[in-house]
Amino acid sequence: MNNSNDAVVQGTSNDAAVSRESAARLGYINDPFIRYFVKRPQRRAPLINRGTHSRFDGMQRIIRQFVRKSSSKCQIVSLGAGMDTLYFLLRQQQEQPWRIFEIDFTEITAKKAAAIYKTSALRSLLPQDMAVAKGGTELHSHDYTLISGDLREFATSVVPKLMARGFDCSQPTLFLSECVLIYLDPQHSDQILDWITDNMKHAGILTYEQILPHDRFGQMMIENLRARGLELRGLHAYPTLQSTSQRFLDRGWHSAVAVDLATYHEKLVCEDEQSRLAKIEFMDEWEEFRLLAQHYAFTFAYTADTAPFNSMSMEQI
Amino acid sequence: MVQSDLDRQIAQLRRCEIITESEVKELCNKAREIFIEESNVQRVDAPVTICGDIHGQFYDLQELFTVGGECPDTNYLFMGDFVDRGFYSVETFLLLLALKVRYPDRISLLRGNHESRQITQVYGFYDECMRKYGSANVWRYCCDVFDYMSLVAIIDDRILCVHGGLSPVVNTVDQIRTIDRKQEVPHEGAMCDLLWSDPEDITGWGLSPRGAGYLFGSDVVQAFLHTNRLDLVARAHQLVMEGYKHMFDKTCVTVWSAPNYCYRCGNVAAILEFDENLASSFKIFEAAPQEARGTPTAKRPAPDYFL
Amino acid sequence: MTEQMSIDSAPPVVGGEPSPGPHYDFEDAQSGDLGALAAIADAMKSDNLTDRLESLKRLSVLALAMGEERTREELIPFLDESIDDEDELLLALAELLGDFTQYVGGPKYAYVLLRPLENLAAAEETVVREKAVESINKLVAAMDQLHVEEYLIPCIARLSTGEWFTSRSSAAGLYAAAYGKVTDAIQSKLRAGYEALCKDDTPMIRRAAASNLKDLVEKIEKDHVVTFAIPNFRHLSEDDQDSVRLLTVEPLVAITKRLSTEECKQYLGESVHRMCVDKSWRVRYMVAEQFVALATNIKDAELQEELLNVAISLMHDSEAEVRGAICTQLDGLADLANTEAIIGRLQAPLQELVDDPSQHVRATLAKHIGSLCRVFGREGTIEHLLPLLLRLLKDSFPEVRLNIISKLDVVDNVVGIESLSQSLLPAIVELAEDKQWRVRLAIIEYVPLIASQLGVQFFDEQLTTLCMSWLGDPVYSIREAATTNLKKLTEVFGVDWARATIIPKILIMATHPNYLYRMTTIFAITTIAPSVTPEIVRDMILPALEGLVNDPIPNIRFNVAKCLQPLTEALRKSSETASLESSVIRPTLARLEEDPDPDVRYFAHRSLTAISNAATA
Repeated sequence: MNNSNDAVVQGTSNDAAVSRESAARLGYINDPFIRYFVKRPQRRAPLINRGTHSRFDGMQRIIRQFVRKSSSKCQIVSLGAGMDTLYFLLRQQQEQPWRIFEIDFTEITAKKAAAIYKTSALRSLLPQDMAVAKGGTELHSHDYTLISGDLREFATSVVPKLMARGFDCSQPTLFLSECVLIYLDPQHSDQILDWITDNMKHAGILTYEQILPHDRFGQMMIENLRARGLELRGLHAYPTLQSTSQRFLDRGWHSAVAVDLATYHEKLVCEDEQSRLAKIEFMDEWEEFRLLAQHYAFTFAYTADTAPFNSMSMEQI
Repeated sequence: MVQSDLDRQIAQLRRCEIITESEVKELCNKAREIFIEESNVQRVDAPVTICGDIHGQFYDLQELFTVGGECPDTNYLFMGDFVDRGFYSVETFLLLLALKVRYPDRISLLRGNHESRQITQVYGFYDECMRKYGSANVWRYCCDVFDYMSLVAIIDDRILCVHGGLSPVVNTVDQIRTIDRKQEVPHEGAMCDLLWSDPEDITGWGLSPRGAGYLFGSDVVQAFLHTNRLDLVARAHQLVMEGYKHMFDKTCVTVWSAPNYCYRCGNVAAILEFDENLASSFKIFEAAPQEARGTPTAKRPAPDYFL
Repeated sequence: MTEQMSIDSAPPVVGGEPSPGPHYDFEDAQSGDLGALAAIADAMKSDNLTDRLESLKRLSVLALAMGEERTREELIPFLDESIDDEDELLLALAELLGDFTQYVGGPKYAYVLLRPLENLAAAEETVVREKAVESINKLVAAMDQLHVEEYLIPCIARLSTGEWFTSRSSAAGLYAAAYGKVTDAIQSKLRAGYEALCKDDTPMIRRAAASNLKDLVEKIEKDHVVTFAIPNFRHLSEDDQDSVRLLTVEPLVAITKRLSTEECKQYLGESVHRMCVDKSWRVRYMVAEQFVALATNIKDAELQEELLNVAISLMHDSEAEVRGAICTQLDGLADLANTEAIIGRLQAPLQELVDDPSQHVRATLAKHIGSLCRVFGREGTIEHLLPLLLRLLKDSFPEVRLNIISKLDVVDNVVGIESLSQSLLPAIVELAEDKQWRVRLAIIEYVPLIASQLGVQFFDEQLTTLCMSWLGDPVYSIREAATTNLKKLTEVFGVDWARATIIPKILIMATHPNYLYRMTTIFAITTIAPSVTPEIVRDMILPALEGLVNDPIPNIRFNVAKCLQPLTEALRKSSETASLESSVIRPTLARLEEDPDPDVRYFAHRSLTAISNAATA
């Protein structure tokens, strides 16, 4: 533990971006934008690239269903978005939601804002009304908003910013959390979910977070991350697939389904894709991959039995 | 090479310090001369302690010696996969090689599937050589040595030791003796299978998810042991969380010697001691604590996760 | 951020060779050739980052060749203009410029380096900015007042009002160094400028202001500590972001150093109190971590009493990190009140910490609890601390046990080993069979110390069997440590004890069916040989080795060969036994020199040579 714990958590967005860039460069995933956010590209080990592929694939799968199946003004709120290229990817595919809001620490949003601002390939995809705001720490436009804020003060400081940028509680909204809520004390992440429960008409959430802290791999994961100053503060409160989905059902949400990354990779990535991946890099670390991937889970949950959520699932492509 | 030079190099490598490129070249030449003389099927006498994958985890190899005894006092048989994945493949492999050259009767080294040009370019050894020596020469010297390492060992005519497992095209030990092993590990065939295959709870042979080698069942092991009048197949190659795993009514055993594999898996490691009467016992050990990993400034390994 | 990323870890190609980079001949510069600048310009545009970094390293050579004037007028402006976008290079440049004064003509020209550094201080990457600030501060140390006012102050002003947050956050790091070198009037402007940073809209700037406030506190006059530092500290310490608040603990410590106890009480009492009970555990963590530093400066009894209350509440904190942090402060904390009060107050929280649900908290406690002995004194330690130590010795987490064992000597010094061993002996006996071999090892290393205190009879009753059992430990290094332990015990209890008690047991191991355990006999003999009499070597050890010389396992035979050398040295100590060298030792080694095993032959030869050399010496 050190006093710059936040800085370390912020560093994870770079870590994630480096992994994604590695997978993109090698051809595991199609993300032509991530390279603009990575200063020092690294080649990740094949099992990390594989996992990054499944993670990207799973997130994209739900997001695209959401955008395609939404009839009108749908919103995406990316909690702790880091260097996610979601806006640009959807824009490129012309599958845009009504609005995308990204929230992260100021340190992150400042870097992201600068990268987008200085890179014409990115800036040109943003609408004309794009403006740099708050001393270079935020970007504002009618369909893409990058907001700086601390998720530990979601209701008090993040929500007012969302509202000020045109967030509409009555529209179908998909919340995303990729390894974000897990760093918060459960009381803080619960406050976010409570706010959604109390204020949104129809909302869904897709999380991708660590699970299984108790086995030896899990314990070592906690130790290793702790040595880097990273504390998975939410892991013990929701340690299993069952508990990560129960968390939503306990709040009266209509549906919640969790699947771990190992199962996703094995069962939900189609054979053609599997054999395409096998050709990219030789993979000789299956026992380890399985161990690692069993410790991450997607959880897809939604509040009410309404469209588009009630026709979405992890199984559909 | 003068013996005192070699002793100095061993002392240096034991401190996890690399030796010079020209020393590596000479060491590799010496090692190759020794390996050339060894058959594909290396004969080994008990007592001997057998070890599985090490994968460049140098400080954990030190831990292994701390638990099992130093070479040459204790006799060792390493079943391959010395390099890749860990941070110290260079020091690890060169130390074992130097010990082999210094005490050829006290230590045996078998080839694993990672002792290969192709695999080491994906899994770290090549990059590590480039990083530590600034050129690919050391990597090339080492790869040349890989080509000469034995494929299997037989302890006291009773125990077959091999990195991966059996092959559908190998029924007898004599067939292994006829392999022309002095080459890069091929993508198929007997030599490939010996280094890549895995035992599995199936009957007969199965396809391996690894894309090389096969899965083999208990009946395959029974038949092979019977044909060749052996008691046990000892192999490495697969991570087992408890350090070792018996299979097929104790006719096949996996030994894994890289604790907390890749600094991430949380597993314990094992070595298997056979005494002079072939009485066996496993020694379990954990990863070296941070304090034992060289200087206090040596940074703690930070394995990748999906963050 | 660059648009074209260079990929420096592209996959290798089979048999591929890295191509050597272009080579630039900087030595040309020695001739004053104008081409040198062009060459370096080229090199700095190389696609290869390593080449660019390399050329940067040669800049000082180039500057030396160009001379001070041209360095100022050509090289520095060139560097400023061609500032790269690769962070690694910017970082190297930022560092280099801080040490470049000598090449531009000494301190009176140091200001020319400010320009490129100012640009670097606005860079996007934090490490680059930090390095640039560090380098500017280095330059300032050598600059005179005139130049500081003429060049640095405007630079600080520009950075402080920059539009992007990057420049403003760097600015905060420059005030302290400038402050002492300017007139009162400018000092007052600097304070105003800093105050603006403390009140900046962007939390990052407020964080920068908070973390640099400490240095400024040390520079300003006492009056301004009260009128400037304290209000700004207070403002920051009430920030709505905990990441800002937690950075105010260090400036708080700095402020207390500048104030009298009364002033501390007057101005800071409330703030201290508020931070100690901050709703964010991360702020409380910082308080806990800095606790002693904070408390030492505040001498007021009432405040100290309150601080002790705070410390105790931190020991009960809901957050494990906080409890762990306050455990590291136990030593200094114990000085906050008189012994009696401390013992009374700490008891309950210590009892709880011993059973803390977090193993890391318990491990930290185990590492630091020993320091309390000093204050608790002999009686206090025996009565209050020993029971806690005992419980920690039985902790389920090995690190806790190890931390206690390794600090036992501190406890020894206070209570005397006798009371310690009496009370801890059962726990030690238990730990001697711990399943973690490192715990066993720690115990073995502790045994000789206990032995010297317990006396032979008590030791034999309690521990001898244990010491012998370690010789048969499954772990090699424990068997090895066991032999060293026996040598030390021989030194404590004497040769007669060794002959009667341990040597027979060592020799029994020589017939063990497993070669690794037979080897322990040889190791033990080799280790204790220098500590026993030549007669023991002759009468007990040599006969036992006879069987081992013919052992079927070569490893045993070559260890016998190795062992014969120290035994010879032992035999030489007495004229009665010296003759055994020629009658027994040399013939045995000569026979081993003919052994079928090469390693046996090698070690026999080596021992024989060493013996001969010693004889002729």
